[in-house]
Order: sequence, then C-alpha cells, then structure tokens
Amino acid sequence: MLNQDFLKELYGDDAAYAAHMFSLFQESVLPDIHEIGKLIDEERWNEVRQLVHKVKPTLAMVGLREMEAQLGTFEEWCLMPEKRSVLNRAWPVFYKDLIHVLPVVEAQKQRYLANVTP
Amino acid sequence: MNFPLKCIVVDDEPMARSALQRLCETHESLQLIATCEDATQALKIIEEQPIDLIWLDVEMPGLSGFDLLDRLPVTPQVILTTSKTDYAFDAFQYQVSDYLKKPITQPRFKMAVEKILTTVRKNEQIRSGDLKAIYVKNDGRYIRVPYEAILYIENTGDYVKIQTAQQTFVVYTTMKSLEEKLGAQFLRVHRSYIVNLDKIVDIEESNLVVASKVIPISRANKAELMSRLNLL
Repeated sequence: MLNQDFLKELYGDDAAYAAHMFSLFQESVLPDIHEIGKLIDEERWNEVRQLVHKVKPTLAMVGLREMEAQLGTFEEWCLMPEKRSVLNRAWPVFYKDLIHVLPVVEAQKQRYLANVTP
Repeated sequence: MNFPLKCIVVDDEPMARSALQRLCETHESLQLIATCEDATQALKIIEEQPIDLIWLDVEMPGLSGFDLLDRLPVTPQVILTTSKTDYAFDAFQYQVSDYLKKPITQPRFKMAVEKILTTVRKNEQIRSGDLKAIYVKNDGRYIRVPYEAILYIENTGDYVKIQTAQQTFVVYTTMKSLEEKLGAQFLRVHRSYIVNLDKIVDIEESNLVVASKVIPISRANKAELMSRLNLL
C-alpha cells in the first residue's frame, strides 16, 4: 500500500528521520487535510487549491504516491469551474481512502521506531 | 566564501521544512542557520547576516518565493523547492541554481548540493584569480590562454609554439621560462616539447600522442612522465 522504494529514496536507512516525518504527517498535515472538506463545502476554491498544493507532497513522504497524484489533479480542478462539481464528489471518496490507509501509515511509523538505534 | 555554506530553508509546510532541516544538518558542506515559515522571516535573517544558499519554496501565503528574490539586493545561491513543475520558466528568469520537486529524495538533495559546491568553488577561483592561464602577446594585445586549453608547447629555436586545439601562438621566450610558469599538469618530455599531461591520448615506448601530434619522449624524461600518470 505504501511505496517502499520511494520511502527508501527519501529516508535511506535513517529510521529516526523517517519516524519523525511520519509523526509530523500525523500531527501537522492530517488536520490540514481534514480542513479541505470543509473548504470545499464552503466553495472557497482558492483556499482549497492552496491547501491541496501545500499538503500534496506530504502524502508522498509517507509513501502514498498515488494519493499525491490524485491531489495534483484536484489542485488543477480547483482552477476549472466546470470541474468543481466533480471535485465535490471525488473528495469524500479520496478522504475515505485516506482514513482507510492511516492504520498502515501508523504501522510503518512503528516499524521505523522499532529500528531507531539509541 | 567560506565552507560550510550558510543556508536557510524557507517553506510554509512543516514537513518540507523539517525534511530539509534534517538533510542540511547531515551534510558536512552546509550549515543551517534557520528554517523560516515565510518569506518575511527569511528577509529578516538575510538582513542580519550573509547567507550563501536559500532552499526556497515558491507558493507560500503572503510573499511568494519569487517576491522574496525580488526584494534581495544581492541574490545568493537559490534552490527552488516546489511540488509543481510550472515554475521552470520563472526559475530560469531568476537564474536559480537548481529546481527540486518536492518531496526531495536524498540522492537528489546531494546532487543539488554538489552542483552548488561546484559553482561556488568555480566562482571562488575566478574571484581569487586562481584559474590558471597565461597571457600571450598576439598582434599587439595580450590574449588569455587557459592552461586547460593548451595541448603542448614546442621549441622552435628562439621562439616557442603554444598549441591549442583552435590556434597556435608563437611566443618569444624559452622553454625553461615557460616550464617554470606552467602548473603541475605540464611536463617537459623532450628537449623540444612540454605537454599537457591531461591531453595525452596514447603513449608508446619512445613517443606519445596529443591530439594526433606524435611527440618524442626523451629517455631522461620517461621515468618522470610515467610516475606522473595514473597508470594501472
């Protein structure tokens, strides 16, 4: 589910660095992602685009490269009024998928923590 | 410019800042001075002390990365870090040193730092006049001939011929005088020849080849020549 090859490219064998990044994702990025749904409901498209742009690369940093690509599409849709209704429908699906994968992210973080050398 | 290079990270996204912080802190040629959440913070730091390198995000709330560059009186080395590739043209216009797509992998980070270090060292050499060259009088003016352009030098009696790939300079001087001025990459291999060791393409028992020119090797100089080459 997580792109292990890419995680290796990002963190090498530095488990402490990787664990720190995963923690940051959970603590600082997830609240931003939760916020996006609300902004979509309120049709604040410029803010949606800015926030999607901001969080997009962080998904890849926890191995979720496909979801990163999806956010890239959403970012473009924010600038296309004709696509906004599609985004309205697509976001809940994306969000549900993300919530579904969060335990996998947590498990990966725990694996890194277990490999941190004191 | 002194090493390690003093750098700052400017990015509104905490994970990106933290990742670059970690990468900078573990690179021996870099000294991380600060991480900044926005361009305004970065401007304050740059006003307070000289910064050699900025890792700069483009899209940030308030001032963008390009707005920051517009406000700098002197632009240090800049590496743009962004999750979009749409800024390539602007990056070119601002003459940034490199352009990294986020998230930044360790190999790509190292490559970018190496590129910066090469540029900085080269600039440093130019500033300190360390780039080796000789100035050759030609038609009433002095022409700069970099050492690396010289293939070989040939003695023709009262004159010497300095041969480059593009042209030949005939100079009134002695081989000995030239030998003393040239750097370690040159060696006198024969009474009548000094060669640029970096340009040798072939060596046989008693001669060598530089750019298709066959040059004799005197017996007395052979051992020195062989000791200066990277032989397997």
